[in-house]
Amino acid sequence: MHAMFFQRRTAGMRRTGAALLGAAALALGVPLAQAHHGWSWADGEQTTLDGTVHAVSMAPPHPMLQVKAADGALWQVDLGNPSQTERSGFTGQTTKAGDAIRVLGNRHRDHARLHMKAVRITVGGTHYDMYPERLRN
Amino acid sequence: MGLDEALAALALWPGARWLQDSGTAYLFVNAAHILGLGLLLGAIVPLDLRLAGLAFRHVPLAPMASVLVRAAGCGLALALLMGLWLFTVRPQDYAANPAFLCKMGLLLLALLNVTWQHAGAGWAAARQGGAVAAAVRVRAWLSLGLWLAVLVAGRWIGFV
Repeated sequence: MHAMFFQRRTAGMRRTGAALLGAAALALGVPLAQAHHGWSWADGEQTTLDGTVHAVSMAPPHPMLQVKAADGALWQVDLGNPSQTERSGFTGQTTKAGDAIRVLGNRHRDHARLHMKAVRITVGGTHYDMYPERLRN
Repeated sequence: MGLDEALAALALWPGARWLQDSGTAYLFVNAAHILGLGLLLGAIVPLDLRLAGLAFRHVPLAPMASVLVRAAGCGLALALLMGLWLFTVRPQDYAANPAFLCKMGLLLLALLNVTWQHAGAGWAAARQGGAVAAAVRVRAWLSLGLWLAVLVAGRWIGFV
């Protein structure tokens, strides 16, 4: 019974199956971090921003901070999604306006826009890692 | 009370506070919003294509319309309700987001077009099995274009 079933499969079906498997393997091979949609607008290189906390918003979909840089300019700093942010240990009570902060992450490709995606933020000597897999030490 | 104060006050109602504090609750409301728009588009696209004469030409319009109009209406109601709720989670941020404002403009146009379509004499005639008048076809095309534009504007919100 089984032999008859396999004889009915055509060469075309086998080729299609192989192509699908190949495509799936390629798709799975792409590193998860690079497949994440949120990085396509950012620089590939990580940079550091030093400043003071101006505002904190923990509301979904993306918690974020407003950071005032040394030159007085106001930056928008995106943290992880609510789960990622929670896993970093950072909460709405972690900082308040005026606290010194260091942000390690990827800034917007258009350098005229003061917007960056935080990989790690450091407040009061403590590190909060939003995307630990992106840290290169 | 200025606009900014009114928006800030919106973010304080218990439903907004709940979603601000709980990523899990937020994702359910977000999913319900997507279900609403999925139902709306899933119904309106085949209906508008039928009206435009591009698809399902062999299918009688009357039964198609009675199912799809109702489904689209339910989807729209759900999307609007969930959308309003999601808005209150970060009202000032959304009100300052150009993609969101664009979406609201397109949504208004889409809703006006729905009213226009249903109020027209051609619509009643078409639903009774008559020919689809040119005016009805035009509004079907507009409907297709506008709802797809609303969809794209909505997705753009997160990428501005």
